[in-house]
Amino acid sequence: MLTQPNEPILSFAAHSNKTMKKLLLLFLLFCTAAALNAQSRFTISGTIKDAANGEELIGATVLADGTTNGAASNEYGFYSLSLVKGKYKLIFSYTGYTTKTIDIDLDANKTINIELAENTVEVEEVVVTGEKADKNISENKMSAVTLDVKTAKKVPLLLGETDIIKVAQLLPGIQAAGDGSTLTIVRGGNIDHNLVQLDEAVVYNPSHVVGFFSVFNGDAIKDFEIYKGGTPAQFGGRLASVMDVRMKEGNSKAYSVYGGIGVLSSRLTVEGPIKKDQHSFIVSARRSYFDLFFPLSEQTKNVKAYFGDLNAKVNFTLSKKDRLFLSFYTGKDVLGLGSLFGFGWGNSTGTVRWNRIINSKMFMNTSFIASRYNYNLQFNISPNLNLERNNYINDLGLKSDFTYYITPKSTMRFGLFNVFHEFRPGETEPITSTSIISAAALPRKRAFEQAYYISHKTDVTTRLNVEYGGRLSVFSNVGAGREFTYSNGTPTYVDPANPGVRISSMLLINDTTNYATGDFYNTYAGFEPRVNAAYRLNAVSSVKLSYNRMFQYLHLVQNTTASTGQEFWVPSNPYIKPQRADQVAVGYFRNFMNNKLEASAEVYYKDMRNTVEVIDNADLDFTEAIESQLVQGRGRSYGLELLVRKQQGRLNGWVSYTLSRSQRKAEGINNGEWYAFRFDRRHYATAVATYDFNDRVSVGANFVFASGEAATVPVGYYVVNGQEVELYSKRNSFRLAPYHRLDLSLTLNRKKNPDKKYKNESSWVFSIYNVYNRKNWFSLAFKDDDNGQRSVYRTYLFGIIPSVTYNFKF
Amino acid sequence: MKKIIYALALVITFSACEEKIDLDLSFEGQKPVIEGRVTTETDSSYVQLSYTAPYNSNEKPQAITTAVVEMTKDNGAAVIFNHIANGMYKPAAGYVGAKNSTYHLKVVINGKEYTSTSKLEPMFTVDDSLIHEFKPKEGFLDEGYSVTFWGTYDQAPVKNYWFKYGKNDTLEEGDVLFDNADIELNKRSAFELPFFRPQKGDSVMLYFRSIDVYAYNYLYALSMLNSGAPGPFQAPPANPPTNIKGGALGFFYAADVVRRWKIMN
Repeated sequence: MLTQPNEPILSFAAHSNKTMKKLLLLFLLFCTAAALNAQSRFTISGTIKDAANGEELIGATVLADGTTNGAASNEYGFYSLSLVKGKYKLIFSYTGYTTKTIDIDLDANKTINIELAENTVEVEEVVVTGEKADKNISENKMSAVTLDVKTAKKVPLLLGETDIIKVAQLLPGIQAAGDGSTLTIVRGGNIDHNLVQLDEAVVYNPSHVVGFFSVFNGDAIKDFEIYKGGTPAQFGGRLASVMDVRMKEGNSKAYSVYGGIGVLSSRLTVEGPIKKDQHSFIVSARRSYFDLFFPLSEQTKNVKAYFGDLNAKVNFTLSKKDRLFLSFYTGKDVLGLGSLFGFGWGNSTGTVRWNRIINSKMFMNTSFIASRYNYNLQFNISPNLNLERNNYINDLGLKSDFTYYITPKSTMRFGLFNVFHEFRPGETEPITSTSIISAAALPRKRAFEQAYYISHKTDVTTRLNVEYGGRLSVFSNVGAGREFTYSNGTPTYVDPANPGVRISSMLLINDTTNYATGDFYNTYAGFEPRVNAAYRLNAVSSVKLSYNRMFQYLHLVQNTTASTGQEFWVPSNPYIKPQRADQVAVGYFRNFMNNKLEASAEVYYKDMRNTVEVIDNADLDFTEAIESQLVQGRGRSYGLELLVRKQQGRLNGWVSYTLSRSQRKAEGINNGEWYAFRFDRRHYATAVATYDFNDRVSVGANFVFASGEAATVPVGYYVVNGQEVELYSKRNSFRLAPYHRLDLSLTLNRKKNPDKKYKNESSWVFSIYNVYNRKNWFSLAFKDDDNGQRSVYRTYLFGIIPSVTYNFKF
Repeated sequence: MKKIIYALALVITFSACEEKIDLDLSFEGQKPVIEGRVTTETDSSYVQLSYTAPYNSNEKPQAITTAVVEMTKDNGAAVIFNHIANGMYKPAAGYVGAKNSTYHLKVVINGKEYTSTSKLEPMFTVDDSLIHEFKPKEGFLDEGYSVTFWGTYDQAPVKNYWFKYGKNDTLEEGDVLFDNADIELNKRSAFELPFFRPQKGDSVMLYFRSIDVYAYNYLYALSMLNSGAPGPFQAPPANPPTNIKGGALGFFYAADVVRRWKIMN
């Protein structure tokens, strides 16, 4: 891993000032143009909310009928539309909601706050009128998908748990890292290449129970958007994707209590107004209780395993222009065996968000964000041998984001994000005073990450709209801290006596440099251009193009397949360079049946540099010189993604197919040749369907097919130390069997009685995971059978799993 | 100490379903395997030579019987290890390793030379007597005797140790590997043998070896390869990091050996 401390990571960085000046000039030009138009234009602005609960609707549209002028609400429900003085019919619409039309006489700036009512299933077909019904072809956004929880709740999933990440894994280019896992592979990226954030706070480990459940409680989540490419400039810090999860704000209309009782976990949510239509709250809790069943069996009576989480949020309308949101999440996993040993992890996040409508054209969001991830291990073999070890990541950040609606066809967005990271990579304490283990702690590491971004979205012509911009990211290691020097100049090296084998230089540390508190002793900076463009071919189709560059300064070091909670994040340092990805995608989008059916085909190519790989036989546990266990290399992934999706009517769902390839290359692994990424899957096909027979009965089904993952297998064996040992050849040169499964669900809703004052609702959800009991390979094990013969065993995790969940709301 | 703790945690935590399958695994040709040791116990040093064999076959690895094997202590003269049988090479009777010496191994197989080096580090001090105490059934441990040894970790860190124990001349499966990085220097400490409950009348044996970090890393990788950790907890498989130069598999170590016995009465 040869590197030059303080070396600029790309030449563009050296010219970033010049580039920023150009962008500033562009910005001023557009502001001037807007000012010139201002005399004849007025602005309508406001928020678009759900009439039932006051939740802001993200991506709802407003269109001036008879014109091509329209706007969409942002992630905070705010919209702004500037029009020439005159009379207009404004059409407000949102998929699944009844369209609302308002006539206005526009002779001054106006504030219009709108509430849209959700369509019930009795409405045979919801026809969303207005041009924006086809926004999937008119907008330049590509490689992105928004999912709402209502859709997710109808999709059958493992143990009946509503899990929005698992639903996302049924979309093209987004795959599970193993059967039943919420850890996600996006377009051939690593697990840690996904930026997972909840109300803008990073969630470092988004999984419960070694990855089988996500931390996102379906009852507390409003909206989920994933970008697998074409990433807007306001996002950064990871190579492959952004998973932007937003919590509900809380019902500002009425109190409600709802929840669900499942086979292995239950959840309860309370929400309501603090002051009707102004302030509201939501509290949602979830806990698994499979640990209650363990004592029933002699084999499992000492097993500990449970998870729990809590979401809470309050929001206050401070004035007509100001809103304040406080959101909080905490979750915990505990696994173990009696008092013998245990391990666990947990995430906690907190966000204080201030929305301000600066004027009818300018919207601001400023957030103070805190995030903590901790994981721990306890071992208590005997009074003489026991320890407890804790590890933490603490983040404290400030994000400020501005949206300037210059004209209906021109929007500027800019802002900054600064975050301070503190890593506490290992603090060991003996549990008893008689333990031979003494207290020890690895030195803390600190880093400061900054990002400044600007983007401009504009309709260049009636057919062509473009969003372009960039993000300047800067990352600094900050003291107090220390870095090692290696006598051979590098933390790992290829063994000249055994070419192709990379060796740790940990034994060659010959010096240590200490840095004082506050010292910025190593800095990387990089400019990340972002471009999205859509060219409308005709009324029903368009082609789109996107390019983005992403830098990643934090890296997950993991040596196992699943999330054990013991994998850890490390910051870039003088030896570990930032990872970088350049991705280009081209897509063709076409709608059918009056926009009821959306189809798309995208091809992408992603080039990754400085990807982080663990060297063979790495020693990762409690190792301060972590760079001596890593090697950085290259990655590339490319593919074709096809999707046909229907989101209206009784029958909803999609069919998708992905043809892709993902490879890695690093000196000292596979003799420096390209090799398959662990989760490289050539074919990946999914089908998801939900059908509402009426307002009481609905069914859901999904099917997944995936080519086998790559695996490393032995090519021979030998005897050493009195035991037979496998001889391994090239990494990931073997393919596991294809993966496929079918899941089904049936939802029975209680009959509604509209005459009752209290409209209690309840439903039973019956689901079957892996209906035909396919024993999908998770991994291979090589060991002797009962007769002492060397044998190969396939590991599978889930056979057929039926489940039932009772949901209630009152 | 960290490695043994982590390895045990993985094994116990999780169980997945397994099913035996037939898999066609290609063999890429024979490679030499060298396992060599020099110890402080008289006449216990040897070098074992063999070839790799196909994974799916029933054939035993072929012994290498025509190699030239030499061992050199520090800068001294080479001692020849002669072939005894089945690929086993031994020096003349009376050979014993010396503490704080560095041993150099040279093996020539069909004209190709393989070399390795290992320093013979001294063991920490282990008390002569073992402590045993009868204990009732605890969790998954049957009733029986717990066995504890006392030791004084009097070697400056970081030193590495390879520890095995058993009863009635049969050692328990698996290797306990630990280092003294987390242990206070010169601290006299007790250590209860984990997961071990010999019965009355059993003869318990403890077998300590000090080894260098290269052998330690090799054995640790070997234990992880054979840890039995189920699917999700498996580390990416890889050949253990051999300290033999030239392209052979296996490892070479020099070790100070300490043994202790006690009958459970």
